[in-house]
Amino acid sequence: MSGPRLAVDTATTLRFAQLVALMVVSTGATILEARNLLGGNLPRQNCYRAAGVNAEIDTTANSADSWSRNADAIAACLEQYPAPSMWLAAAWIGLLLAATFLLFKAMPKWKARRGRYVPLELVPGGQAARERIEELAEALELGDVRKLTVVVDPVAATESAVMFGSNRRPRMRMHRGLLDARSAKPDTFDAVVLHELAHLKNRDLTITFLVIAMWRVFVWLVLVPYLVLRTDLFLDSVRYYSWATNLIGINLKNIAATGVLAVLVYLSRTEVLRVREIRADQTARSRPDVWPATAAQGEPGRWERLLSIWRVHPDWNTRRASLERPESIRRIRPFALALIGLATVIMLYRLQFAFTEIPWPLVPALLTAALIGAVAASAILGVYITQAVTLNDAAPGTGAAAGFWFGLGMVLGLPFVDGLFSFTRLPPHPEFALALVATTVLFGWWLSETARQWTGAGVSAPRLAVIVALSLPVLTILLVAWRYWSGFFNGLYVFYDTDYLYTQWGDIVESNGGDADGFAVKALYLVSPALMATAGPLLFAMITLMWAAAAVPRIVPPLRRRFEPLPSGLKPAIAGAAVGLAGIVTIRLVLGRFDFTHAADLYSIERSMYSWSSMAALFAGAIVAAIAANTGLSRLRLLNTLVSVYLAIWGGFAGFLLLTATDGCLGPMNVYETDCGWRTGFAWPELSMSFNLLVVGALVLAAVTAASGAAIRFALHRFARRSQRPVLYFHQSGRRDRPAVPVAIALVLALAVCFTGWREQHYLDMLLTSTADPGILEGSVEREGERPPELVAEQVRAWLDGGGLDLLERFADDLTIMDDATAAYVSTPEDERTLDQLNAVPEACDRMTATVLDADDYFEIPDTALQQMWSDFLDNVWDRAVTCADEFQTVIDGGDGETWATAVRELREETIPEYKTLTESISAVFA
Amino acid sequence: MAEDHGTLWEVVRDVVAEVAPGELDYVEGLRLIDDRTVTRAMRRRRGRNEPLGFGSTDLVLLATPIVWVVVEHLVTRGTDTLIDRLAKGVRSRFGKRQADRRVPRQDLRRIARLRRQVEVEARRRGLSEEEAAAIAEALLQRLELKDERTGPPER
Repeated sequence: MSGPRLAVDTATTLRFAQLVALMVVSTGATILEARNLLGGNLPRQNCYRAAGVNAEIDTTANSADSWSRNADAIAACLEQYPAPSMWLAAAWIGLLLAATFLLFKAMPKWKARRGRYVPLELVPGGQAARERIEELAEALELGDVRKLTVVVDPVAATESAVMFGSNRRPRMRMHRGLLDARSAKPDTFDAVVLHELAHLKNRDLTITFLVIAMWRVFVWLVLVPYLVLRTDLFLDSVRYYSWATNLIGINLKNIAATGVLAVLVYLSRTEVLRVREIRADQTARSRPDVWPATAAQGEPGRWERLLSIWRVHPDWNTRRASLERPESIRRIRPFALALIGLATVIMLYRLQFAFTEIPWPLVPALLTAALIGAVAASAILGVYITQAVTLNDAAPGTGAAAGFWFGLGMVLGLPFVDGLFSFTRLPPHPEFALALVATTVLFGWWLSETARQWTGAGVSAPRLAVIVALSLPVLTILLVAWRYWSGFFNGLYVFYDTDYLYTQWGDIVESNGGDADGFAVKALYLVSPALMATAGPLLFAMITLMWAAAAVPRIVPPLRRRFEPLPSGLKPAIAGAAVGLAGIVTIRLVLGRFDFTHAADLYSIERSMYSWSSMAALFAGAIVAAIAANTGLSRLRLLNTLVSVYLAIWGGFAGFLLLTATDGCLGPMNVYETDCGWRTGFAWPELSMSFNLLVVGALVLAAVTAASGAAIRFALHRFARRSQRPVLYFHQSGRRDRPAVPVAIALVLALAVCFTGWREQHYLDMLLTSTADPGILEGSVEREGERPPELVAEQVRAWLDGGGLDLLERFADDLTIMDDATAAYVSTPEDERTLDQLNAVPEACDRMTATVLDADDYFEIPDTALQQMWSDFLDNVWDRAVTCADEFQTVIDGGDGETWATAVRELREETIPEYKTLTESISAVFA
Repeated sequence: MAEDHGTLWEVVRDVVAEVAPGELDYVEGLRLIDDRTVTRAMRRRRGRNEPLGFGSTDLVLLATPIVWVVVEHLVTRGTDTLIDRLAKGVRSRFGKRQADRRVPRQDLRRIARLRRQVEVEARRRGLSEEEAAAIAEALLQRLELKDERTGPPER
């Protein structure tokens, strides 16, 4: 099988696989969600509600705030109620698969049932038709088709046929009109039969009908029940929670998301089937002597074109065009890519939901979900982009366009799946979602150039596999980074404009003696998004992979003959590294004049000045390298820029390390040390912010420079009216590098890899071991206004049900015991009083201290005023009850008992009224 | 005089032989399957969009569906209760072959209605008035109904 054909078949098969995976994942996630909605996880949900964490109804800020204040209590509560097992999801997925299998087996029998269809052999002329079918199968090199069952639909007068069944047990249903055409129009008969046999040859049957069977089962077993449940909840929310606008929005969003999922699967299915149809035409046409392609019809109208996306069959013009120009099938189709993007984003979020239901730690669960989503997407995109860019006349920018449409599909899907969006609420900065499009454009561009570089000598299965394998980690990290940015831990588009961040910077600066509202805070606040975005785990690994893959042919000379070489040599990189190094030397000369020798602290401002300015110098070098790499070339522009920029940065960085390690031996360039020596003590956090900005920023720099270069080149070509396209195919480079060049590149790469490993280890350790501040985890602590009274009532009720009522009753009981015992003692004539009568009092006080401790471990009341009262009440009870419990011994021992008596009097005269006021205030919430 | 005009299929075949002999082969094939299945297919106006099919091609039939639908109406009209129809529908859907249904003799008063039915079906399928008239004529002749009036058909 030739390369392009292989690519087309692989792409459509993978898309079928993505649909199957999407349906399976959605089934699992939907059933878990339904379980939660139906109260199957109520105790754990109440743990959140009682703490005032109610993100669906409440504002994000309030939920985040409550979460951060009750994190320990929530954890303790969740521990009390272990997560329900996942058997329900597993069983439902099993049911889906079993039902799919049964339907898949039943469909062929139904479609060929007696009484409606007649075996070909029983129809007049059937025997001759059967013989012709066998001749055509032989012409198509299909082998033995005796196992092919053919039935005739005597009613259908059209000249058509249809294949169904499985690849192992294929069946064909021939329309009566086609059978009649065998003698009158033998060409038509042959064309149709060959097209159908081509489906068999392309092994379309099993996968197509498996997906169709699963789709039907999915609709009835998952989508419809879920829709009914959600609609019911929506009506409930309108009826009983009309004040909770966001709850209504979320219910509406989920109903819409179900519709989107249904439309998406349907459209993807028809889209893939259309490609399979065209492929069948082409396979049939591979025998032009017997496939005359007579099938040209009229031009489709506008509505017809619009409707065509819903239909399984491509229109006749497309079919004809694909026969005249078979490679057209490999072009980038925006619609298909947007659908893939939409499917990817839905899958990503559904996976994330399902994985967070598993009792795993949060971070590994989310990472695993992102990884699975990315595996599916990168395999499909990898094959798509590779097949598109290997076209002879592939337009420049094909890969970037593919990335754009894919990213656009993802962004369009976000409002339906991301919890921060609903029809009644948007995140403060939804425009940050467009960063996703920028990253996928970069990915598409990079992948297209990599594919072009690696397939310069033609597409083959192993090369395709290598390209897909390369794209997998890159896309995975991009998607993980995206989740990281968009709300994973430090939601970018929520977090960006929060007061919280500003205050945090203010505190840091103020603790160092600066102005909490000064220029430094404002500057740090402005670059915060960049600092947060570049601090993502694995970003260096991704970047290193992106440019190292392009540099490999340079390091391994035998590969150069089989790869499209990068057009520019090492000069831009050398120039960039030289500029960077010159900058660092100058900085050292300047800093050497100041007396920084006392700056032993690695985190001191003096050390920071050196690292920040050095990284700025390296960035300046990177700019030089990027511009130099973009002068006068048109091929593999991005890869070329990336390689030049990163060789310059890491080359310069090697010099930076050398100069830093030999500080003290450098004469006027000494900054911190006076003794000559070799110092490799190095702290990552000291360098992290500036170095993250440098390396990740250089990726943006390379992309922007290459895009500008391409735009300028394009404009110049337009201006000069030179219409010839640059030749994109394989160029044999006559040049040979000097032996030192591969070694030098390999050394720089080795440094990059080592440092990347070091950096990523640090970030992964941090990510997997640190317990994130729950407030930050939630993404926002912005104050968005008071909770509505109805919500307060809901949450306070949950607080009472979850254990608050129990605490109040314990206090009530003990206060009553204490009060009664004391009252009885007081009402007893003095000569009859004994201390035994009071024994119950210290016991009750002791129990009250225990109750106060339990209350401290329990949630705060999700209402500011009530919580203040409750907190004061607990403080007072604690003081009085401790005295009451401890001082009783002094009374027994014959002391004056004044302290004890005062505590008991206060408990009776102040605490009991306080208790009553508290309970009345709590009751007032429900009024 | 016989009690009826023969089976539904026989009546359709004879009329089609008269007005569209090219469709006779096709009509021959209809004998192999259940009448009701044929009726349902004849009433369906557009083809199904089957996955892995060849796609829609020109529909070549003209007269057969019209004749079938009109004659079938004569067979079922007034003779089947709702329960009968449901039972037969289920039976045909699950592939049980029914006994051939016969076309009863028709009253002369049905002439105008038959003409109208043919006209409606023909118009729906894009046939001209002349073609519709020819089909109606052949059908009336087969059903041994002679239209002796000269005025416009009654409404």
